Amino acid sequence: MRKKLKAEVWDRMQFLFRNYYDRMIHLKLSYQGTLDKDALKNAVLYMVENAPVLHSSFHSDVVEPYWKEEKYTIDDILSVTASDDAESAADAFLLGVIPYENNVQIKIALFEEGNKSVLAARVNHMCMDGGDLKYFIATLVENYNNLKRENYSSVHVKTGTRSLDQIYSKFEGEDLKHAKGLYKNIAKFKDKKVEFPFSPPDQLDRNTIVRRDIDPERFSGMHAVAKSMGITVNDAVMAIVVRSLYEICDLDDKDCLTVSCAIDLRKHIVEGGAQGGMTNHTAWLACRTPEKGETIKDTVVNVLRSMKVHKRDKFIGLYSLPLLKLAYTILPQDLAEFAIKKGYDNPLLAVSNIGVLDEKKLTFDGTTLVDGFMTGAVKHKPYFLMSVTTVLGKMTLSTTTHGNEKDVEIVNRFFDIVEKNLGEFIACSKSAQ
Amino acid sequence: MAAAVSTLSDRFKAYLQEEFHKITPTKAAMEFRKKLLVEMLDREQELKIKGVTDDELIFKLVVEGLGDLPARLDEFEHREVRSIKQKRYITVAVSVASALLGLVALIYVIVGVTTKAWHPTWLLLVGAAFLEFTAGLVFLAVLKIKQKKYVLFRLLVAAVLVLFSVYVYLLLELVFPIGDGCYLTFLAMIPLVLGVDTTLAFVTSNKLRWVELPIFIEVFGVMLYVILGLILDPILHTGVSFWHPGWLLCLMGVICALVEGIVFLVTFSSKRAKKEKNESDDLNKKVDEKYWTEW
Repeated sequence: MRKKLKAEVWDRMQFLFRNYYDRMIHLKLSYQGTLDKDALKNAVLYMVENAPVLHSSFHSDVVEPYWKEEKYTIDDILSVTASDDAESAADAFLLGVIPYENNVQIKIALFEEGNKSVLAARVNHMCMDGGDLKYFIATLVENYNNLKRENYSSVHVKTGTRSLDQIYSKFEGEDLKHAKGLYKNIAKFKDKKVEFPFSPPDQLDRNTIVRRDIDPERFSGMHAVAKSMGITVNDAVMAIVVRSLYEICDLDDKDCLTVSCAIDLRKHIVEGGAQGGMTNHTAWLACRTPEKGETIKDTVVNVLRSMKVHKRDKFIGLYSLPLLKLAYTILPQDLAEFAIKKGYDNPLLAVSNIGVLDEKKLTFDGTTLVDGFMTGAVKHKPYFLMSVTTVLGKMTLSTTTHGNEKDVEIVNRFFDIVEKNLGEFIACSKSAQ
Repeated sequence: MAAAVSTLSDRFKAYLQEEFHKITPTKAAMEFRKKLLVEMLDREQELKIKGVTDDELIFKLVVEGLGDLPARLDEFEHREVRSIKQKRYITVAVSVASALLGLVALIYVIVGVTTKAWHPTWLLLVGAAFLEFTAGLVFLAVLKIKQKKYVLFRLLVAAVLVLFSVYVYLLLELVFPIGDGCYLTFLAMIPLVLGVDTTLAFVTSNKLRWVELPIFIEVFGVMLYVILGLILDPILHTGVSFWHPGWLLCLMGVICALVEGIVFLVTFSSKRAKKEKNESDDLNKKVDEKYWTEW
């Protein structure tokens, strides 16, 4: 008999987000060298077999939705294709969507072009977030390598609980009580709504992913300046993006702007969630700047002032979660969705720094990682999300939008502005000398 | 000489044999071992259909799929012992129940034949049946407490109280000639069931206990009003009616809810004030050397 699995709070929340985006998260890794298809299939199956939610369909019941395990074969998940242009084929693959009623919630494709291989994956965001997709792919590579070396005892994957309650595992006593009582709704914005200047929705709109690479030299320059200022790379990226948004959105320098920034809640979980199952543990912080600032340094100060308030709060990212849990516990699904939608404003402008994709953890035996990036779900206009990943010392900015050629042009113009502001940021070190 | 090829089936058998050596070799254990082997073979077939081609990985996945087998076997062995004990208890309980019912039936026949009082002596039979049924419900209720399934426990207790009320009604109606008011037993039954349930809600620390309390008080007040009205109104002098101002009893629940609300507010604000005072005391505490040196 096929088993039913509980739809956790984040699964249901991501299901609600179908109103704002396509629920897919994307990953692409390019290698020099070829992979052992059999070992890859076995490694993928091992991982998917141990994560039931990945081979389940989602059922949106009126009262309480649930996952139901489904029959599947490796062909439902993994495809291997020889291609004349592996990169383009992988890019096209990434634009697909997995319906939530599907029997599997992850699709992986391997494109081969001579001695070059491109691995692309898209996963339903209801099953996991970027943090766990990073874990999934690193563990897949590790398991592949162990299978190749016949080191079966080391083949593994985390299989624990997917419950939201894990995020309180580091708290105890009064702090735990306080964290579980953070009912305050912070997901409702009070400032003037600023939208990214996409073109109006059009029938010709389709899923698009636009990326811009920041070469290692410029990235290390940015890193050095950030270090000299005593700020994190994330703070620097936020400052550059915020400044660029003032320009692309044509805001007055004195306008205030709110940009949401993704935060990984695993910092609140014992062992960073290593004992739990693959799931979502991401919340949003509002980075609110009262004005643009005359120079990039002024923008950095404005961003820092806002980010520090969050960073110094030991309950960072935990606000509103008890309210969400309460709504999903006491109300039937349809009513809970209605109530949450009323009290929730999806971020219009957001940045998600997924972080470093460690080449050591992502290299299959016999290959060399040459490129890669991860990006978030494809947003419906006017919602704008820029993802940031770093691999091999190179930083990749990417946006995912259901748009058209005009939107691609606009996003590229935005990236040009980001590069200009990045230049100004790097120049700070020279001006300081 | 060619090495003997060990199939996955052989490996599963060897694995199970090794694990099952740790528990008592009973017939039930053998059946369980066979069942597990079938499970493992089915899983092997399923994994091959799904596309796993590596036998070693299939073995790993199948064995991992069994979960913590030593713990399962331990649980199985305990369950076996428990099941034997349970069967013994059930046999004893059924025998005692049958004997009791037989004895009561015998008494009923003897009394009936000797005194010709077949009615209402038959209530003895009904009483015995109710008693045995109640004993069954109480047994289940105790089981549910152990399993911490408090909602079912409370439902079972409510069922016992309903049975009790029905029997009391039969006794009053058929044995004790107290007049036409026997049906009032059913009106009293409602606050009785709710009252006991509210008490159990407090005993089991149910989250909704403070909500259930004013509901019980309200129902109690309304039922008391109706019962007293039905009893007193006919015997009171002309021109005096219990119904008015007796309806004030119906406000009991509202008063209870109000008192609860006030108590909650006072407790909450005094806790808050205490917390704030502690915090301010901490901040204003006299500083020592550490104040200047510790960061």
